[in-house]
Amino acid sequence: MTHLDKKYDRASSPEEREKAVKPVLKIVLDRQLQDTWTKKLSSQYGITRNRMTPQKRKVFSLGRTRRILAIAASITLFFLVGRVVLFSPSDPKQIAEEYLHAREVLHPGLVKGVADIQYQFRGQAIKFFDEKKYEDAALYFRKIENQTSEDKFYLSLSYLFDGQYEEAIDLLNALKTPNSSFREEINWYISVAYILNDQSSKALSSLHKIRKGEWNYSESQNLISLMTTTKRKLKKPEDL
Amino acid sequence: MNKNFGLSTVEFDDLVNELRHDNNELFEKIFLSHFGDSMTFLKRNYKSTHDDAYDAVMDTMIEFRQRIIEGKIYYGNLRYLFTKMATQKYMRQANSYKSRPIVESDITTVNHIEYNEEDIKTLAISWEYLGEECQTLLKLHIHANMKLVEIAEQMDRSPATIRKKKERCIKKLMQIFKKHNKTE
Repeated sequence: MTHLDKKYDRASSPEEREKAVKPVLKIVLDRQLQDTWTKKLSSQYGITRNRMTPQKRKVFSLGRTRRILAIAASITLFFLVGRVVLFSPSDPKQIAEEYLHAREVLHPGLVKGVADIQYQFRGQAIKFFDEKKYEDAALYFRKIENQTSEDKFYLSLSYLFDGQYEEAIDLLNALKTPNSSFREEINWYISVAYILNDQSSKALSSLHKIRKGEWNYSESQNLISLMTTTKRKLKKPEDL
Repeated sequence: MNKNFGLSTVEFDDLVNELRHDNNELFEKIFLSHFGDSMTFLKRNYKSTHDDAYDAVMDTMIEFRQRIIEGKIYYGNLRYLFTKMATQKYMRQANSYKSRPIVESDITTVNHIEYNEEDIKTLAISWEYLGEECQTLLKLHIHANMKLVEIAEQMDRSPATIRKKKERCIKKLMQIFKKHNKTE
């Protein structure tokens, strides 16, 4: 039971119940207002917080929209390769981060089902995921009792985008089965997660599993070449 | 620089009236256009970081809005008041980062913390599931501080109906809240 729950249940009159809910609801509504102002400040006045500078990203959806994905990937690759050639950044971590955020990942959406609480959790998780509120998305994906592999996959992406690399790696590893419909995506995202988590040797081994013609093959080749040539100092004991 | 953000007394009265009807448009127009100036003031005079200045001004806007609604802010020198509040917000925020010896009040259980972040998040989600009519009613009453009699007048209902409706809306909101909390 939470604080609000307890206070609400203890209240014996409608006035007391309102008194219990009011301060929390006020905060909720204030935050909604702040969200609106944040968007307006950014779009109309160009004022943003540095720590969450939004980037214009391309939109695509995984799994069911492979063709769109392929086109988006080609366009992104074109620009990224251009950037690599022009500015020659040599840090694989930086490049992996760029690849990860180069395009917006959206959930393909809810499949019609029984509108029970589990269905609501899933809907909420997807909503947060698409809004890039990855911490909240993870919270709701975790709440789903009988998680499908799709739920688990998007939970792992929520962890990854939220910077919880170890959780992302554990879950992606658990999802790795030969017949998984997310096999190509898992190979790519787990490689990125390893790089961002400073596990270079595991990242390299994972990148080598991405075969020609598979999703993000060119990007993986670029990362392999960067990682083998830059000879970064490795920090994790397992990489020594 | 204009002491009252370019507002005349009549326009200020309009602003108050608009806010009390949960219409934030005019307020946003005035204060968002001065947001950058207020940030610059904090950065220049207090060497605040960009993000700290942003947060302080944002928090001030929320509090300023609330105080206008509650009739605690009067026309006169709005800019000075806003800047002063933003400075106080920033200083409080900055001081909280400074290390200091532990005092008794740090250890004593604080009674006034009656809600936590999880409550806020779950209530925000529950709010999305609440019907539009309930949202409007609760927003007017709780966020715009409007009296039930005024809401009744605006919605062309009796005050008793509105009171009952408000009670039901709160009950409904908490039912959704509890449902979301169950399997957490």
